[in-house]
Amino acid sequence: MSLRILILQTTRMGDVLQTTPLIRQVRQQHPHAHISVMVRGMGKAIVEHCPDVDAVLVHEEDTLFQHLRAQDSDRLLQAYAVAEEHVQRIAEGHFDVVYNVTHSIGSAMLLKIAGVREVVGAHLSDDWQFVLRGAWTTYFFTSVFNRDYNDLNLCDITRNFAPVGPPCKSLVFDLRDEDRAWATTLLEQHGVGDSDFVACLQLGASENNKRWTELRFAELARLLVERKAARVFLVGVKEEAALGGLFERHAPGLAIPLYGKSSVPQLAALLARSSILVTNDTGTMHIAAAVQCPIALVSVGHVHYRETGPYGEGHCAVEARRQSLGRSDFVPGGLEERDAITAEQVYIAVELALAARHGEAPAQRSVDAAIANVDFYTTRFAPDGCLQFYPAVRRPMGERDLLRMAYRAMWIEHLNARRDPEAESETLAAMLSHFAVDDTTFVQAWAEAHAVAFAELAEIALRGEAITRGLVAALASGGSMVAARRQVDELTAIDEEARIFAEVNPACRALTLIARYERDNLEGSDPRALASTTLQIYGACRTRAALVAEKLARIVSLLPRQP
Amino acid sequence: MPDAPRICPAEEHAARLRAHALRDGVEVLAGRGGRPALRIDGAFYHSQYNPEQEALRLIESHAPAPGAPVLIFGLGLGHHVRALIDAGHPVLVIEPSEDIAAAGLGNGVARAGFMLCVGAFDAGDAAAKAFLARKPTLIAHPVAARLFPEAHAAVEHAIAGAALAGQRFNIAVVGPMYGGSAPIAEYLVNGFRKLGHNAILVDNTAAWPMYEQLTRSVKDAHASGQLGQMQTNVLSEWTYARVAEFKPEICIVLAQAPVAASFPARMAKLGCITAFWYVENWRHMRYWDNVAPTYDAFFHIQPGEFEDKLNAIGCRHHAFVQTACDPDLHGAVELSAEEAEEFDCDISFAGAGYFNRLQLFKGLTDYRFKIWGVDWRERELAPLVVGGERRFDSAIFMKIIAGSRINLNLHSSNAHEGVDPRCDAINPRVFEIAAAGGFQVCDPCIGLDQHFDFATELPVYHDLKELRALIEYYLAHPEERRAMAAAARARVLREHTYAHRAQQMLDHLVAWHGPRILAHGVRTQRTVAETIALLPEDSVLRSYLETLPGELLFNQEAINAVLRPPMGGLSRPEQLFNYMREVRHFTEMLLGSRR
Repeated sequence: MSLRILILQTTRMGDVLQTTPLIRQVRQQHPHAHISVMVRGMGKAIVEHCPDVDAVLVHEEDTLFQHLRAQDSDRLLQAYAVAEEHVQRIAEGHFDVVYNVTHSIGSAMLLKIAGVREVVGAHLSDDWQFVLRGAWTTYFFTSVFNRDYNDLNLCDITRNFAPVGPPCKSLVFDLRDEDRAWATTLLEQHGVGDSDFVACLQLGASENNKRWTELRFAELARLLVERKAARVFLVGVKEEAALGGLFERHAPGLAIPLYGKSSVPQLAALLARSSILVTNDTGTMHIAAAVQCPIALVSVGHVHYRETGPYGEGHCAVEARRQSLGRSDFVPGGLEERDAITAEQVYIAVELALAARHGEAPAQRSVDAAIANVDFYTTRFAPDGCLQFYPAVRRPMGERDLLRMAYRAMWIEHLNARRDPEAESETLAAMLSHFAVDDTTFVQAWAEAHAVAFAELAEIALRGEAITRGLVAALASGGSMVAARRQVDELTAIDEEARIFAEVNPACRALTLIARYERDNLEGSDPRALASTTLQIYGACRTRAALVAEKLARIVSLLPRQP
Repeated sequence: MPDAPRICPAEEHAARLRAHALRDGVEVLAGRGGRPALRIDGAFYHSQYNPEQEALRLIESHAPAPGAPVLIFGLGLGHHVRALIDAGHPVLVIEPSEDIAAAGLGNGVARAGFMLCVGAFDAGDAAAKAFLARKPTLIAHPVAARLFPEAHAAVEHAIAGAALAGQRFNIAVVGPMYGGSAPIAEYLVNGFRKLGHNAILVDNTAAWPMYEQLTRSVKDAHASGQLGQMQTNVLSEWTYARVAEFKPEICIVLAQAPVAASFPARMAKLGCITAFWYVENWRHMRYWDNVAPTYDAFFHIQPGEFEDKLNAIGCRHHAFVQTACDPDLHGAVELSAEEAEEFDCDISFAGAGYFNRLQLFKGLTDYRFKIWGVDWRERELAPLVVGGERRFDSAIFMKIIAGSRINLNLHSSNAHEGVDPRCDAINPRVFEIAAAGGFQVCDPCIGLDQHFDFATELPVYHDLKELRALIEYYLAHPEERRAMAAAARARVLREHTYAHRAQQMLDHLVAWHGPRILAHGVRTQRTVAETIALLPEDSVLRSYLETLPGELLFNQEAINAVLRPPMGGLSRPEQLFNYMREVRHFTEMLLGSRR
């Protein structure tokens, strides 16, 4: 009897697409397994076009939510029945293993209630505490603490829940003939020839602060028409049609609105034929990435494109320069950033994406007045096997760039639990080659200062380990509870010391926050087991801190020698 | 010969109307394809092309539940009646016109077998009541509704009243920042809850210190006023947001509540019925004419002249709803020895020092007289104020009553030296003192005799001389005092609680706006006990609910409040309710509706 596997992904459509590399790797690991995927209704079309999936389960969480939100006794009874059905469906699936890539306690509860025995990802312990097992799983759930320095795409993180030999380096979405035919007919109806440049624009976004303005999109459309004789289509769901109306006011008759006129597979077929998609951070972006349509991502607002940007090579992200180079988590102002990036600048991003289409590094630009306020990054896979956003403008390296490189090298080694000095050197060197490092004074000074801080954090964690080791021994020997309590108090003091230290040295904060999260989600209630896990957490924190210090030194060693 | 019963089997009406001569303008013609067609004053009642399909469309547009009873307004030739009967619906048909009934029945529709009311529909008729109690769906034929709009409206109201009978409503009560109506808002919420409704208080009292600070810290009156208005605007939006989130069917706004003029219109867009309770003396507070016409209902505390004024400004739905007592808060208390010393007195007054009180009470200073409250700055009275000028809450008020042999009551006036003979705004103190078992003497406010018997429950005075005589007498006759207090208490508990007032309001609102409430839909609010009754004996959910208080409302918020947190050893229902809590939280986060 074949292994029965469920992959649970009940967030948005884009997240479902970002899970397809994991599904592929699970299939590679278990070629004969029966793989089911549970998604919300909006993700159904995605997994139906994923050849690795045997069965699609639609999770009617929206129905449940509507019942709950109605604040009505009858509807609550209906909600209860729906919740029971959810549990029943999973229980009846008799899954041997479930990969849970949904960031929610509810999803973990669902699996717990259904009695699933093996869960990779978020799950609940027997005492119903939210717990995580596995290095990559923990990283996935704690990446929010690491946003300042996270350099790994979500796809690279989640596909490593099921590591295989040759990794899957693309989103998976198989186009069907009927969808291609729809796109062909559509383009014919609008007189678009085979050699015409087709530009799709996605004006919407999940939040207003993540949306480049429709005026700017209209300006860009003019440039594309003037310079590339582009045929422009506005894509999106029907609720975004109002944005198309605003666009039309700024650029009457320039674009063909397709709001709500296509299914997801039809949109994918259109994008597969398109020369470029210009978009905010949206589900459409992931569809385009899945069908290898070059993407110019206009990153504004609270967007973490390194984490959620297009997975695949040859795409370009443009964002307004912030306090630190490439920092995407900090928006100093409000919505004004939405207007700060000009159409000319996004046009450059389009050119960069087109140039990078064939996986070759486009020639880096020098800084000039026209692009002084923005940064461009193009995507390629790094020698370490994960996607990388390389700077497309040659600028001096910033402190945050340095730390991000060191963190990435640390995580790759720590999460894979193996050293690969060759790939690491190549990865670091490739990134360094994109920066102007004629004067390395600053970089060396930052590296030295941070290495000291990380070494100090490692030392604090080491003390934590020593105390915990004593606690483990005391509990194992049935020693005095008074002594054990004293050791717990000492650990509390160590944690507080680490917290304060990280406040003073913010570069270390991600590590202390992750350690605290791990401590907060310990599994089980047996004091000895808890103490052993705590020991591992202090050990992991020490290892990570020491590794970051080591990687900083490694980066410095790879810097060109000063004359 | 006695009148034929209005509601009886259609065949009986058919027999009765067989010889009925149709009035001019009511014709049954040979229509297209030879089928009969009914024409009223030149217009056809049904489609000439496909009346059966038209009937089905009419039924589909109302989507009655399978097998559900249907009240049909308008018989016509009965195509829709036949279709409903064929679909298995029990029906009662109302046809206001004898001519149309005769035309329709003459066409053989009576053979379908149904109950028919010809003429005016009396919702009180036993047969009508029995049918309405089954909460039928109303399907009005559009031609009948157009021909007989008043009869149609009456049927709509009857059906709404029946459908809403016993319904547990979701009600928001909006209170002011400050003042006498603030506690009344709270009491009213308790009243609705006592009746089993799901009521919330939209409390604005937290904003009062800020409002005072804002308006008092700036000397320029214009600037101060503007600042106060700005805060009121913010509070109005806050109030709207809270009420909208609760999604009530009914929202009651108390006098002085910080809501903008646009509030009732905005609530109407959400399908919510709004009412304003003007617990003010309209002669003293004059903003009523701006408020009254904009709400769906306007409740006030002064019958008579005020009602004429309201009619004159076009306020269609207004009613007198008196203040009352809340027996949970207004009741007898035992005083400790220390408290007895503080509160013990022969006569007391608790309240503000209005002009007429200052004047009248100066004549009582030779008694063991204690005063609580503010604005008692007259030289003769200031020494009697206990603890200095300060406000008191209802708990202190109950102690004051408990310590006083006689509780004085005098309705306020700034224009009279004693009793205001025109006063018709009965103050809540009357009911609160009675509920607390206190003995009181009061001025004979107009209308007070409707609520109390002056001889056995509540003695009244017209001037100082009468007041002093009452005090002398009742101080000397404690048994009579106690008997009157007990009688007054029994009376208020029987007739004058906020639960009574809440019911009065609901009766009015359903009578006036039942169809609107029904059209918008009422969220079902059952108690846990009522929900248990719906569940099979062997249901695990039932077993779990039996561990919860029966009176608890069965909604997610209430269940979450008593739900054990995630842990090992939870029952399946507890696990599922925890799961549902997470689903709601996560989805709201995903939708961006919760930060």
